[in-house]
Amino acid sequence: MDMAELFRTIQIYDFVIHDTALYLDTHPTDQIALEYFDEIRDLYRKAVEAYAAAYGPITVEDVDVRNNWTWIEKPWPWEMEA
Amino acid sequence: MWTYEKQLQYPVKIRRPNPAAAKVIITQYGGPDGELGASLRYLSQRYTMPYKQAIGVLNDIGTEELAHLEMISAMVHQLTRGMTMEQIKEAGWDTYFVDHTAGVYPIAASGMPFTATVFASKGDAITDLVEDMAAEQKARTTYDNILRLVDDPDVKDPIRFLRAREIVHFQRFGEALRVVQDNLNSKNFYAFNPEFDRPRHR
Repeated sequence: MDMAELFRTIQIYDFVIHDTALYLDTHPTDQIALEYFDEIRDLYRKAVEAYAAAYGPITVEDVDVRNNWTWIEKPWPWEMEA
Repeated sequence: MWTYEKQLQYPVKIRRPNPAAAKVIITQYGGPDGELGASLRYLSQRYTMPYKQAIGVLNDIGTEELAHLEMISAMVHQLTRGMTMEQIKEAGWDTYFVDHTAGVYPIAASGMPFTATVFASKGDAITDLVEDMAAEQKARTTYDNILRLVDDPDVKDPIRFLRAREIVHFQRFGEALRVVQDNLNSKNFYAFNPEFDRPRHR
């Protein structure tokens, strides 16, 4: 996966986690939803780890300090050009 | 975007209800130098800010202010939890109670609901960062005034933490302003607006 593809994959996993969590807020014992959440969360963590190692941080916790403070490197999310 | 962390930035554990203290502390929720205005100020200003260090400071302080908003809300909640009707009337909390009961709602100490007129997003790097430095000092003064008005150590402790953060933020905004000025024409910082004017190529 290239940078853009991996980034979009993280975005999708992140949204699925959020939407599933929202469902679980009102269905906290739904086993199928719980297993689905667990599965996507695992994919999300692996994708973030791969992205951060290759391209840079998604959250401050991802910063590789050997490359200085990459947190502030452009583009910021609102600076993307179509 | 943001994700929620199920923790406060600094602990808030208030044992005794005290609507009189809530009445002044709520101003840091919805008042003129409060945390809601602070977060919206910085998070709004970041889009047109031109230099990465200054963007980082606006983004990360804007985010921290959301955590401060939550601490202040938690304090207002704990100070108004389990109040008796006598305490409500004695403290003058009745004018809030009639509209919001013990719900948390962003108002100034004067009772004025939150308004976006308390902050600016001018679209000019120097103007906005000078506003931000002033805003941090105004919030610091407000916390100093709150510390003069309340006695309970459970209340004073998190207020002291928030006051100290205003001073750190003032320092960081001062550094961001210096980064901006270092990028501008040292003979005339106002020759152009780096948030609006496009660079001219000769």
